[in-house]
Amino acid sequence: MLLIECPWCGKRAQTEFTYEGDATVKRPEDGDQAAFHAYVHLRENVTQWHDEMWQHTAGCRRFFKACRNVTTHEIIATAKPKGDLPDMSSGKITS
Amino acid sequence: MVDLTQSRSALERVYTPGRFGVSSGQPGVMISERRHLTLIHIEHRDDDAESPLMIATAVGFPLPRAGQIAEKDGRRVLWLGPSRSLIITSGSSADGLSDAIASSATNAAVNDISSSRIVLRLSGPNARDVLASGCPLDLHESVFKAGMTATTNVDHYTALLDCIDTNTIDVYVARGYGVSFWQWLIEAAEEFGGKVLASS
Amino acid sequence: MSTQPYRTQKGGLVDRTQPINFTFDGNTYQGFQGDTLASALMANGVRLFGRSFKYHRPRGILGVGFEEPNAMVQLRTGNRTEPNIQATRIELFEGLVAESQNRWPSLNFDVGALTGIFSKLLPAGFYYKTFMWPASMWMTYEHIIRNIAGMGKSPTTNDPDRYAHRYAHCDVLVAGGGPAGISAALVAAETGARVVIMDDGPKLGGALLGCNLKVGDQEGTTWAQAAEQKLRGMDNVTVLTRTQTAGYYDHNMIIANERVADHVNEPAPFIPRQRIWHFRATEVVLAAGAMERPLVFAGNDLPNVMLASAAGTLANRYNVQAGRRAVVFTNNGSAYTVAADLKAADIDVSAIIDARTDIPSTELDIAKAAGIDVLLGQVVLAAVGGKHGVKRVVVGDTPSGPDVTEGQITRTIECDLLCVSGGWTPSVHLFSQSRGKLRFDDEKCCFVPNKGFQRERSAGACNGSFMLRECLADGRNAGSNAAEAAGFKSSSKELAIASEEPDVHPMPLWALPWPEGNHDKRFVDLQNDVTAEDVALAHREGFRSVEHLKRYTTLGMGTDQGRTSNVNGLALMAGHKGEDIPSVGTTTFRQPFSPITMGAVAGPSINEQMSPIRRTAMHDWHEAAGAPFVPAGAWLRPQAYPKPGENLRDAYLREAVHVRKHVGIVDVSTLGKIDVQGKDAAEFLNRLYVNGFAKLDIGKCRYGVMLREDGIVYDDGTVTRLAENRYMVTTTTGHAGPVMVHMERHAQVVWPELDVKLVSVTEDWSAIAIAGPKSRAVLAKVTDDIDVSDATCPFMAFREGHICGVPARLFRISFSGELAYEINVPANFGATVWEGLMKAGADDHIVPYGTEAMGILRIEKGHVVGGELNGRATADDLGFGRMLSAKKRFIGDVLKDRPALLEANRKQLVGIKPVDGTSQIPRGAQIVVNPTGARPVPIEGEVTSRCESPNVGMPIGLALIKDGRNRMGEKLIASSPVAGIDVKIKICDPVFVDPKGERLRG
Repeated sequence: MLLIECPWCGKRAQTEFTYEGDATVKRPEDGDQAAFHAYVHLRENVTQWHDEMWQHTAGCRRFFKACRNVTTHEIIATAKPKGDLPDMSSGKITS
Repeated sequence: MVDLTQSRSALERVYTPGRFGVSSGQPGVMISERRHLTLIHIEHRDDDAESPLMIATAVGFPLPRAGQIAEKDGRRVLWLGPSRSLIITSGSSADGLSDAIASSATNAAVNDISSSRIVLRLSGPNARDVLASGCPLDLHESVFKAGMTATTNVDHYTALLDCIDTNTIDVYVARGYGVSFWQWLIEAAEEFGGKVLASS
Repeated sequence: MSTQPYRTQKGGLVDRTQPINFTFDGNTYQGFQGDTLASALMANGVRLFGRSFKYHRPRGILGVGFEEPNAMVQLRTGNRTEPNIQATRIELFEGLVAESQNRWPSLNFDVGALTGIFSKLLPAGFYYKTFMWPASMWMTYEHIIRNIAGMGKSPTTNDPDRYAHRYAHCDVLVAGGGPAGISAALVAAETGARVVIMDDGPKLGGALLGCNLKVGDQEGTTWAQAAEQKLRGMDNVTVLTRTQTAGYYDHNMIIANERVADHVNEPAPFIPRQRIWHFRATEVVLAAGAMERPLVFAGNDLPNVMLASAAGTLANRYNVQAGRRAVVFTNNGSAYTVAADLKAADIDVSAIIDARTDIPSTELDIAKAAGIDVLLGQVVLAAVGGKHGVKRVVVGDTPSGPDVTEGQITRTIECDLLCVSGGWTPSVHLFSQSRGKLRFDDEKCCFVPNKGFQRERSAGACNGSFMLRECLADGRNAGSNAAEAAGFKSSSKELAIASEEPDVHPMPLWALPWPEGNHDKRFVDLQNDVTAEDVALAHREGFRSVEHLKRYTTLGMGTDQGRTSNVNGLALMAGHKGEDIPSVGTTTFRQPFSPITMGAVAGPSINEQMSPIRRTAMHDWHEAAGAPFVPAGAWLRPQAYPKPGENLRDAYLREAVHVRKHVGIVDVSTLGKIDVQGKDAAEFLNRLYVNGFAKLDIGKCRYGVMLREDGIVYDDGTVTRLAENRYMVTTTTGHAGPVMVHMERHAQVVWPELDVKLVSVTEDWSAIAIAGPKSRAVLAKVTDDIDVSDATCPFMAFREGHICGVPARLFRISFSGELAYEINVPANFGATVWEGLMKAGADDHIVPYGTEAMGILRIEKGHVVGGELNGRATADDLGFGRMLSAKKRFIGDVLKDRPALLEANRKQLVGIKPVDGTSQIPRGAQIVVNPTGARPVPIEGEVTSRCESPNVGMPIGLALIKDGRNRMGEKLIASSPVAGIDVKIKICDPVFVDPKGERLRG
């Protein structure tokens, strides 16, 4: 079971949270069908670091972002929805 | 037609004061239902600096910081999350409070949710052990101290914990789950020896 | 009553003043407090513990702990019986009853042993090769094979015991309470860190309890006892004995299984039998010890061929002579100490047979001091004996290489105990579970931890440090290192000095050749009856990767997961492949380390606690009224209220009629209720729902439909404007949680600029719908501050006031199609108001109605619920096309226009009736033209809801049918191949009752 750091409540057990999908997609407010199709359906199937959206369902109920390695379950950082996660695209922190 | 002080407990049918579980020695945990409380849920926007001040004026003291409790004159305010608080009060301290907050902090969302939770006070040397049977939070007395609060899981249930003192924790659980949670709690407490006290 | 003929008279850790009576295979024996079942049986001269899995060969004990592959028993009887329990880990208790497994009719005479005679016909992969044809017969074969090869038996009645769980946190967790673990815990505890130390045994000490070594000037056992006492006395330390560290998971989560009351006949009242601990540790010290490896030679599975450490522990700890005349066979130095210990326990040790030719003088000195002959450069080629044990060993020269298949016999030695030591295997299981990487240590001939992954370090034997002084030093360093990593300051302590002992220095020795004329089996995996020949066969047939080897031969499967067999098996495969051992690799170590009973895993989550029940405030009333309940998510809802003499159907048909004629009330508290506030609340709702809410008047309700972003209908409900910037929305019961999350996501993440605050108030309000022509009359009796007349409270109005004296919200909305209201009152008064309404409505013949009647009423009105909101239907499919606003943007507005969602032939909501006016429409039926036509039968649509309608006077249903709105009056078949029913139906309007809505506006 993972230990996830809610940006507001601190480190809590995974059972308090719900995975809420890919945090890299942004709703294309005035997009066309292709843009919304991508928003709803198209996802990168990454094997390493992934920016994810989680909700602290059994806690403060806030959504937040987590940068998690989907192979090893390491979580390198979490951030508020507007905050930034480190760029792990090269496998290491580059920003 | 109805005496509004006579609300009905969700635990009406299962609540039986007396000893239960291991019967030798002092009970390891005492349980009592806290009834007739007024619960006021307040929320404002994160970027709203004004509402917290207005709420503080209406309540009588500033809102608590993250994970903390603020209390004065029979009004206890629990931090629920960023920009969200729960006021626990009763009797004359409760009178008109909800309306007073709503009318002064007009940008805040105020809801009286007094019926929404059951509130159980767990006390005694094993109170924390009973909760730890289902709660993944670090409940050690050096970590979860008096004046701290957390919303977390206790077994399958979402629960709000309010640490009163070293041996006393109040537990808030959704009313609908009240009976199921009660049954879980009693079973978890039996090995320590328990006592249900009269509700307050 | 036995006299324990193999019990020695002095020392050890059994309490001779506390005899314990127990039963094995129906025979009564006596042991002592401190015994295991295995040690007590050995003391009584029992050597045969069970039959092997495949060949039913007689087996005794190989080890004294976790490593035991053979001696598994059926423990206890009746509803407490448990199969496959290692006799070496069962603490003896008064009245213990155990039976051997895998034998029929008895352990001494086992019919299954006949398979041994035909064993040449049962090589590895035998099942795959033999029972695959014809494939259809596998089920039959499997049944027979399971009976022959089965292990113990599961209980057939409910377990009477309880199992608990506990969460705990610590700074330093020490897994293993041997010398390394104790040292680590002592050092870490001194720093003030919160420390947990766990061990599987009843007391700390680990392997130290089974040998004759000293720590400082204390006996090892005394030192361990003092350390345990000290640790138990410290506030910041938790000592858990009888606790298996079972699993090492992500983010330093450790799962342990504490056997709270397994060492007594039955738990005291209210005390759990076992407890699962969920630890979250900042730092972990792994001190799991090591297991001795057997050697592979002909007949190496005979009873009383056992690990040297096991014979030593029996002698030192349990005061049991495993035999009278022993031979020790080793490839390393550790067995020398054991040989001396056996001698000290008055066992005649005939010889130490050592495969090595050149050994350190320290080892020879030990043998010399004990007066034991050492035969260097010699190996055991075969053990010979019967079901009651080994009788002699056949000895030959150490083979010159792995290709030697037959060895020259140099001598034969009579004995009744053969102690073997093939070196040591560190218990790297937990380290590997934590994603640690292993390396093969050529000098020590074993896998050891290399690179860790989490915040952990290994210490002692599990780290390849086998000697006591290494364990103590390693433990101390690990404990201090862990405490410091957790943020505590460690002061370096004096290191305890341990007895000198020989280093291990093993010689690689993986399988011995057969002696001339004896080709008895050479077992690699005793639990699964896998031999050296099976490994060779797997190699010949191409199953060469470790994972294939495991699955083809079953090497390393079973309850012991190859603890004593893996390394030997890998080494043999490496030999066949001509590779070194590390390049063959290891199989994956998985949790749990050793099996855990399912009861402990489930813990308290059984029966109602498996899935908690949510009850409305009126639940007790419904129950008292005799209503059966139906689950709706976690909620329980009353189905109907049968009167005396009525069955369920009678009751709901009566209720459905009664509501349309008179008045009824139904508990609708389970609907989701969300309070929406903020300056942008209207805009927010506009974006969520397909229809608009900005212009909704204060004090009015409106039906709303929301789509998913992909354009499919998500949920429906009512939206009520309570104030300028405040709304209350309802959701369906099933979607209450997900809709809240959906709204929170959009408020917090997608449109954070909108001023909107959301609170779920479902639990705060009890909701009661009152419906029927008399509902207004009844309502008027229970309120004096709400004018319920149609003029001031018209359809879709919202009012606040008091009902039955309780502050209430009143919504004039209707699900039934009748004149109806929904009353919301604080849940603490829900039952009071419900009772008040029943009382006030008595003169108007008010009845309660349940979900069944509610379902009938809504089908009669063509209202959609879960069956129609099926995750595939669009708003237009369900007849909501006109609600779709073109003046604003809303979720799903773009993708709802994808071509496939606009096709003319889409399934549309319609009503259906049986053509004959009487036939029941089958539940879940497909709508087809001709059910007996050519396959596949084209599907025209499906039945989404159906009921008997007492108000229409015939069965009716709702269906989604292709282009259904243009097919009114068409006759089709509702076909249910599952029920075997075909019913001719006619398509009709989905609104069966009062299509103009005059009743609800009445």
